[in-house]
Amino acid sequence: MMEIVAANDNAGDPIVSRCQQGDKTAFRLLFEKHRAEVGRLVYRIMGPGNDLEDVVQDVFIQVYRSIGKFRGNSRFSTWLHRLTVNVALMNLRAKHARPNLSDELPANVPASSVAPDDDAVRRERVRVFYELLDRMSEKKRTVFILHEIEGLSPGEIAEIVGAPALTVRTRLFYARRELIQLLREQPALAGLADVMIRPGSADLASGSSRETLP
Amino acid sequence: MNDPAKWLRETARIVADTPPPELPWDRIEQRILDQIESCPAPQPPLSPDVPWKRLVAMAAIAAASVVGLHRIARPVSTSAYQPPATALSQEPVTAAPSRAASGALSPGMRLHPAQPTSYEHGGWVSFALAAGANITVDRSDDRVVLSLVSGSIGVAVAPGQPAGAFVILAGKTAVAVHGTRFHVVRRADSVLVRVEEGVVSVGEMSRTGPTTRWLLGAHAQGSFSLDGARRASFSSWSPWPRAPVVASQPPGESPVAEAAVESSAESGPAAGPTKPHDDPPVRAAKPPVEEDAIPEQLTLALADATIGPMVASIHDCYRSAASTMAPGVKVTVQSSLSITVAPDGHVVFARFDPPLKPDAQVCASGVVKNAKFPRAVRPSQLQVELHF
Repeated sequence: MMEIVAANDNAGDPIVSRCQQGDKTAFRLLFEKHRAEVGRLVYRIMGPGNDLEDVVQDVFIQVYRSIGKFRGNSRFSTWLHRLTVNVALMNLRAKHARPNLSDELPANVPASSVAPDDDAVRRERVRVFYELLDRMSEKKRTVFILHEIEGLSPGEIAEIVGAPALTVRTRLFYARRELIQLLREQPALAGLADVMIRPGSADLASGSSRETLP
Repeated sequence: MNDPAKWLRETARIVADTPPPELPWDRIEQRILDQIESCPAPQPPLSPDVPWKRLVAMAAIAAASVVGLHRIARPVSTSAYQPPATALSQEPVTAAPSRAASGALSPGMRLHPAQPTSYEHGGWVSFALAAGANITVDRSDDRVVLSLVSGSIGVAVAPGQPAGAFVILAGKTAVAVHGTRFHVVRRADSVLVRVEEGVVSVGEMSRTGPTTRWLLGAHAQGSFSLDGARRASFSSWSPWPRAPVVASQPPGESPVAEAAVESSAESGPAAGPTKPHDDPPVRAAKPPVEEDAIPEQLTLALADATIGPMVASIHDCYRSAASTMAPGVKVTVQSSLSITVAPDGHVVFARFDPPLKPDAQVCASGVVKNAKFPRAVRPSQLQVELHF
């Protein structure tokens, strides 16, 4: 039975201290406490269709190995985010290095868009989004996701990526510009994306649904 | 594409609003724990860089290695570890060790001190024997195995030791350490284990080492039969209620349930005689159950009493989420819900394929997560077809 612990995110967190002493019970508590945020961050960095489970596992193994090096100079959550980002990017790199011998769609994306409702449309839009991100450099991809999706400020991102806040802002600027350029230059992607916002179809982002008559 | 910037913003918002897929956290946790068993323990953080401190530490280590301070079973000061001042029932473990023993532990050695005595081995374990305790040393290299013939022993093991690094045998029952502080008291027909910190496992000694049948967490106390802990009863001795045990039921012959409530003499010092009304609620961890009464695995028919209301609630979730749809539009939805149910009846994994609308998915996930299924001997996989 897990002990319920308060969300006390600071360097003096007793759970962190106990983990640093090799206390595996404390490590289980740490896992319980942070697994949701790690899972979410990994999912957002890597996108759908990746082996989220394995990457989350890698993150916590790395946490166990490295927690002794955490000195409390930053918040534990910042340290954990940094480590999570690094592990996720490492897995992305490994994935991109593997030869892709088939044109099959990612596992979570059905080949035919017969879905219960507008989920297929959303998934396709998200897939295109991550395909665009895959064409960017890691640094730009990271700051874009942390800012636009995770909602972190440039200052917070600066702590995670270990760069000045001004550099983060610059990367954000170029990331946005590059993504827009990609959308304009890639007819296939642009066309696909255009379907989602063509006049007459519902605006997914506004929350309304595109329904089809049975 | 009319406005790529707008498209990007909106898509980023969709991604941000989309919850990540539910993961099988129990399975991930187990895999992580399996892996870190083979990892070296994390090194404690260094204090802020002070070069001279490092030099002093290195010099001290070098000096220690020269004079052989790392010999095994060296005497320890009584401050290294003392059994707590509170008593385990009437057992004589309460007295602090009055002296430290010298000399190395060796297999076959018998320890039978007339007064409380403490020992240390390898720098990672220290133990204190109560006066009159009687143990024999079965092994004393990188692992220590002691047979407790009678009396009581208090143990402190440095965290990070592999499972089974320190084992106490009482009859055929093995108490194996997982980095912790605990006490073991041998009685005529049982062995009492009280855990202060960390986790210990209690079970039958096997050829490959101690089994991990019963896991006792901090502030748990258990009394086990000497036949490999086939019979067990548990209580908590801390002054606050706490679930004492994270246990798995021993396979094979089902253990016989003893009364879950121990006698007051065994309920521990924290629930001592001065405040008997403060006794914490006694919780037998995964109390041994009558396996005849529960199925091997759940089926849809066996779980019908849970699935029926659960599906009804999921329909409510979908209807609620679909109420925002344009009037006059009829949408037919089919989704398959896969559920993994733990033996104790709680849901450990669920997946909607294909997923529902986000709002409905969040609501339905909550319904499934809180569903309580009947118990079964083994985890169960259930698949429910949903039609909206």
